[in-house]
Amino acid sequence: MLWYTAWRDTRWRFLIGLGILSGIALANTLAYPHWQGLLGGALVAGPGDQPAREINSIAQVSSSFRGYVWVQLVRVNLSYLWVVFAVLLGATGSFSQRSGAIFTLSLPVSRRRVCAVRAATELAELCVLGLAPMLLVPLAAPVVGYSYPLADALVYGIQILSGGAIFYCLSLWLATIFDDRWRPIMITLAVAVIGNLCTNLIAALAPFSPATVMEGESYFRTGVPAWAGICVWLVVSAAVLYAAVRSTEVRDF
Amino acid sequence: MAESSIIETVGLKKQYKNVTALDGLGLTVPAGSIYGLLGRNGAGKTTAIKILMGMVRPTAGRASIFGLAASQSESSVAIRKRTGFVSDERDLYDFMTVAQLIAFTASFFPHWRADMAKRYVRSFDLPESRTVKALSRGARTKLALLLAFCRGAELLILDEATTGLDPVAAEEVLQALVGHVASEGATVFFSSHQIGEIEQIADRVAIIDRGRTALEGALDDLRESYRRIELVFDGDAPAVQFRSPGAARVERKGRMLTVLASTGGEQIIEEARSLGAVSAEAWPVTLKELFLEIVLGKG
Repeated sequence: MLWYTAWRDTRWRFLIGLGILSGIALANTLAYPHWQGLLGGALVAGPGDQPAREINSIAQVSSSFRGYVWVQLVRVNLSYLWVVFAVLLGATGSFSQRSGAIFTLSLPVSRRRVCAVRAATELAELCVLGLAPMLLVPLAAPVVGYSYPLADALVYGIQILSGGAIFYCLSLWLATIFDDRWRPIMITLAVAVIGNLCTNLIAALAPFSPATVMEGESYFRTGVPAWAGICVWLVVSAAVLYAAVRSTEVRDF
Repeated sequence: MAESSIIETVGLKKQYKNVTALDGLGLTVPAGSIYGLLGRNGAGKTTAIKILMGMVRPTAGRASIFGLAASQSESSVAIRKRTGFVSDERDLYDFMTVAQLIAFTASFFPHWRADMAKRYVRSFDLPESRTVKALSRGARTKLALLLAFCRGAELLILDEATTGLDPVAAEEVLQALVGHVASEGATVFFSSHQIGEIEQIADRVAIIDRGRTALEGALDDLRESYRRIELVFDGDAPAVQFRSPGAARVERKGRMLTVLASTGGEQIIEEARSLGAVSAEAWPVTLKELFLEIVLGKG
């Protein structure tokens, strides 16, 4: 029954996220013919400076449907928005921010079990938020005359979850420390943005960034998922999740 | 812990940054009693109850229920299996209907009394299909009581259960509590700042002040043993410290000394006469007077 309360507590954030991310995946997929026309022009007309070279690079990658899905949907839209919903779910996942918290604590269940059920429910929802929009791509691709490998959709979905779980866990941990909802959200989003800026500015940091795992560039270019990054960030996420559980176990209500 | 005690706290302390919520609280709640915890707002009642329920960790001291340590995670779960709790906030799941919340709670308690739950739904007039959020404060309190009663608990802990209720609803809640205890035989530990409630249903009482136990005992014994002794002198009353045992508090005003005596008071009267008191009278003390004497130092 704890599963039920966790689902009832989170379902609207999850369903709104699912609707938005699925809508974006569908819109991106169906807009490919239009996008092709736009970037074809950019490739021809662009001068030789840095921004133009980047546009040309994007246009070249987007010349294939597989490349377009990666550069437009996986690397940008889905990764960024997934993190926002992960933070929203995590930041509202602590005891102190829910109605019925004292009632839950009066039931004969340990705080650890309540936290575990809650986190498992939200991580399952985040898994769906990562996989479901990606799985819409192979389903919708034939509508615009293309095909998309199911394996690619699954790998990108899993990489988004593996790399992005740290943001969920961080916001959950912060939510066990702060009593309001806003500080966990703002701090975690700030960490995500600043971390991404740092790895963009300092190339040497890029391999250690969760964004690198989420974007799945190594899989796109070599066909090999970023196993090392996936493992590292899953371990870090598990450690932060454990810190959140411990913080809940020792705090006063 | 004494064998017949259900709750025991020894030297219980809780410090919140610069605020001392509990400062060495000691309580012993015998099995089968209706035990009232009386104190002003901020005296430490809710903190004490939250420590007993494992929601707050003590800074020092010991709290146990059924002989199990309240601050240890595993024993706290075991305690909660045998304890019904109503919080002062009536904090329930707002999104559930009454029927859903009853079914949800029942799933945690193997000895859930479904027949009793149906009976209380009827007698409390609870609308099963209405969400908790839409319930009045009185109905919410009754639902919280139902959820505490029907789990087959040996101990009921209620924190300011009637606060915010109109007199009729408060009386219904108290009657339900007394009726349940009479039929099921549970021990009740309840906090209140309503002296009338404590006098109405408790057989034992503790008065706590600034996080400490100021007074504890059977209500009848307290009423029996405490006396207000009014001593009148010819001139100004002397500033005196009584050698006789039981002089809990002495107040001096003009020709009169008022002594709160915790044990009869005959010896105090004799001592006062030897000091020149021309008149000495002993009066019984109500719980309200006792509370005010102890907490505020005035009757």
